[in-house]
Parts: sequence; C-alpha cells; structure tokens
Amino acid sequence: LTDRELVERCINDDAKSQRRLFEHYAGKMMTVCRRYARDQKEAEDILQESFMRVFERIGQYRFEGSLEGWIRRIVVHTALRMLQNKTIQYSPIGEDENDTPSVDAEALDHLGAEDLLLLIGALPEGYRIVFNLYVLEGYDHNEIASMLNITAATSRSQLLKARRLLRTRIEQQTKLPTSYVR
Amino acid sequence: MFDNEFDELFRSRLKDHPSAVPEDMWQRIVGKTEGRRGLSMWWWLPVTGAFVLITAVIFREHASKVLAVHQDSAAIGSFATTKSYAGKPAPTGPAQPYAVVPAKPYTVVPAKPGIPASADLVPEKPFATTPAAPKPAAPKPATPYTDGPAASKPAGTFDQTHSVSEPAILRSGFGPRSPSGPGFFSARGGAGYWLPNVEPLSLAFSSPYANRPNGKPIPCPDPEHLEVNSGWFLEAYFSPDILFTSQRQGFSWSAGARLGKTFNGRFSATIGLAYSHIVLQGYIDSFPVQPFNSLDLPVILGYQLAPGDQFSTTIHAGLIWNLHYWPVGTYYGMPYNNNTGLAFYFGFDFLKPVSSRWSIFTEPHFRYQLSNRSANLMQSPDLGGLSLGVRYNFTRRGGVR
Repeated sequence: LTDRELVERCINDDAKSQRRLFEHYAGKMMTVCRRYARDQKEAEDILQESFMRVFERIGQYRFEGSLEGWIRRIVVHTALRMLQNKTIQYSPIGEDENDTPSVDAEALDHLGAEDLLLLIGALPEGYRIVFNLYVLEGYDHNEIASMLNITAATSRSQLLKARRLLRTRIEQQTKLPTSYVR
Repeated sequence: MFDNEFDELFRSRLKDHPSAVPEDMWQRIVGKTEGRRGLSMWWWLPVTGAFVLITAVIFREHASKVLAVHQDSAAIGSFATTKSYAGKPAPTGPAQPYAVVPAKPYTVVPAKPGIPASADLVPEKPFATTPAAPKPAAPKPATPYTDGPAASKPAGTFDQTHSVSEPAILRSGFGPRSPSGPGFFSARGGAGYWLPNVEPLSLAFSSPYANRPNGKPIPCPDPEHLEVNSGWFLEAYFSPDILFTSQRQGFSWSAGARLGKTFNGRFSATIGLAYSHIVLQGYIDSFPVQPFNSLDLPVILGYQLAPGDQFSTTIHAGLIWNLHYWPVGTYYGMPYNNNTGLAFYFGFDFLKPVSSRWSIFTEPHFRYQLSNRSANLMQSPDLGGLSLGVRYNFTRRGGVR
C-alpha cells in the first residue's frame, strides 16, 4: 500500500487504514513529542492531539513532499501550540554567551538516541524549543521568531545557550559513566 | 567540535529513532475524535435555531402590523363604496375589487355656512367645532357619485370640500391604483403600510388632501416619496463575522460602503467596496495561521419583501468579487492566492428610517465561496455576519414622523 493509497483511504474514513497509518508513524512521532515535552504524560497528550489533527486535515495533504514530513510538521506545531498555552521563559540575551565548553567527539560516540533525548529534555523550556526547531526541524531564526512570537535575536541567544548547556552536560556525563539523571 | 557537527550528531541519531507508544493510544484517539465530531455537529443547531427564531419573530411582528392596517383599510374602503348619497343608494358601478361590508348609515345634513354646497357627505355626528349656522341652508342637490377611477381629479387638488370626521379622511383601502396617481394611505397615526402585491387604492374621496374643520389641510406626503428607499442611496456598514470553519478563530470583521438605487419601489441594486479582516488562529496544514485582509467588490440585488414607511424588510442576493487578498505582516505559512475569486452573498436587510434622509439598518448575511474552494481553508471561508449600518437617501423622503 503506497502513501497515496493510504491517505486516500484515510480521507474516506477507512478505520483500518487510519490505524495502519497511526501504527506506522506513531513511534517516530512519539520521539518528536518527547523532544518537546517536559515529561512522558505531556508527550502522550501531544501525540494524541497531533494524530487527531492529522486525521482531521488529511484531506489537505497534497502529496507534495513526504507524508512523514507532513505529519511531523503537524506534530511539531501541535506541540508548540500546547506548550505556548503555558508560560515559556526565554532567558535574556547576552548572558555568558562566549563561554562555550568544547566536547570531545569520542565522548559523543557513546551517547545513544535515548541519552540525547534525556539531554534535550533536561534543557530549560525556551532553550529546548528553539534547539529543536533550529537543529532538528530546520527552521531559521526568522521563522522561529514568527512562530514563537519572539525576536530573531532571542532565538539565536536561546540556541547558543542550549548548545553550551548541552556540551557542558555531555562533558559531565562522559566523566560520570553512570546514567545521567536529570 | 563545530556547531554544525554537533547539530548533525543530534539529527542523525534522533531522525528515525522510534519511541514506545502506549498501547491504548489508538483507542484514546478514536474516542476523542468521535466526541469532537459529535460536538461540532451539535454546535450548529442552537446557532441555526436562534437565527431562524429571530427572523421569524421579526417577520411575524411586521406582518401583524401590515395585516391590521389592511383590515382597517378594507373596512373603510367599504364605507366608500356603499355610502348613501343625498338620501339615495349609491349608483351601482363596476364591481368593486375590495371588501363589501354592511354600510354605515350616512345621512345628508344641511350644509354649514362657509362650506361649499357640494360638501354634503358627512357622518351623522358633525364636527362640534363647526360654527353655528345663522340660518339653515337647504340641502344641496347631490352631485352624482361615481365610484370609478377619479380620472378627472388630479392628485393633490380639491374639487370638493368634505366635512367628514377626521379618522375617515385619514383612512383608505386597497384596490386598483387610480389613473390620476397613487392614493396615499395613512393609518395608525400616520404609518403607511401596504401588503406586497397589493396596489394602493386611491382615496374614496379621490384627493390626497382633505380639509380639517378649521380649513387647514392635513399634511399628507407626496405619494412619490412613500417608498422608503426611493432613488439613489449610499450605505456604510460594519459587520462582525463568523467563519464557518472548525478552525479556531479570533475576531473577524468587515466594513464597507455601497452605492445603490431603487427601481420601481421594490427592486434595488448596489455596488460597493468591502474590506474584511479575517482572523483564524492555530495551525492549518501544520503552518501557523496569520490574519488576512481582503478587499472585495460586492454587486447585490435586493427585493423589498415588506415595504413600509417606518420599517422595511429587503432580501438581498448577489456576487462578491475578490479584488485582493493579502496576509498581515510577513507570512511564513503555506502559499496562498492573492485573489480568491467569486463568492455568493445572501442577506436579509431590516431598515428603519430615522429622518427624511437617514436610515439605520441591520443585515444578517451569509457568504458562500464559489471559486477557489479547494485552495485551502483560510482562503475560502464561508462566513456569516451581522451588518450594522446607516443609509443616506439622496432623494428626500416625505412623511417621516
């Protein structure tokens, strides 16, 4: 079954196809949700809301680009919408931005996907969202500024701080081989 | 390690990494989706019901007024057709198109001094203000009464002076329009009403004016000015709008001006410019939605369902051409068309004159997008709104009380 056939059946409210689409993409999208959420419960709420929106708007998918990419965008924006309902603190610009620790590439080789998810999840909310949008979703700072209703300078600042904090914690983690607890 | 290498490490390791999904997640999605669908279906019921109810109440109120006046007028019309004249039954003429009811007894009384001898039709109870006659005058021989069209009597002039009670003068009935011009009907203290498809009948006395006992004419508006919306007019309005979409929305509104002309008293045509501010919120196709502006050219035809001197109802239908459609600020969302094409407009206009030139109106309306419906949701919004506006009539209307 191709993506096109699957989508067309989902548009016609075929429950089996909808479930099939969900099962095919739910795992990867759960990873996306965990990157944005503060905890597992919040990640599950985002995933649930996202797939509801996917099935509501499946008729708008125009087969331009991958279906996975389209679903991922919906998940990301649903996450942002749900997080923006709560207050997100963005730290001020220009606070110790030059003091970035260096990280040994070998240290990173030992980190798996789950370790990275934990590191991202441990970031302050403002850092985490901007890091996710810029590094993992590929938006530029102007787009992020528009989406989050902040300035592009704030977006850059949050990204720098996020990277610096991640490097610091990775460095700490490599010194402490036991599992990192956030 | 450079930033881009650092970023790439995260990308590569997290790109296709699956996470465990709770087993009951699918059931939760199905349950929530069904609940939401049910809610969206029920949401429209009270809104539609309220609209229908309000419209029905307004129509009922207006129709009852019109019917009451019609009944009054029909009764008075019978007075004109069955009256005795100079003690003799009225000559039988062509069959009258209006109601026939038992005639009121009218008698011939002596003419009063100062009143032309032809003024001989009076009710049994003459005016108390009529000066006492120094000497009784003999009844004037009756002028042959004809109940046909008052062709020889130009509207607005007298050929007889009638000494009748004021209510009788002020009332009339319905029937064929007089060749000499439409008669004027003033009832219920001056409000002019007539039913759709019923032509006003010329006064039984064939004159749109009549004398009070003191000799001063009762001011009656020129029949040509009876239509509330006669001639050219200019309207300006503001309308809060609701978009018919499941998308979350903010306060959308439109405002505009339109120039119109009334034809034959009932039909109207308007053309104008409308500016709309459309506020959808949240995300469409995973893109955040920004407000949009729209500039439109409406061309609308109208038909007055229930004309009246104090209140009128008009049904409007027409087309709206989009001139330009543009987002507010820098747009990062999905592509959009800068022209949405054609839409259908339908509305009910309730108009209330407040002076000889100015009227206020409210117009519940509905807009249905005809073209570019598949473009995307935010560009083809069907919407409903409630226009609140003012109308300036270039032709001064008479008889506003």
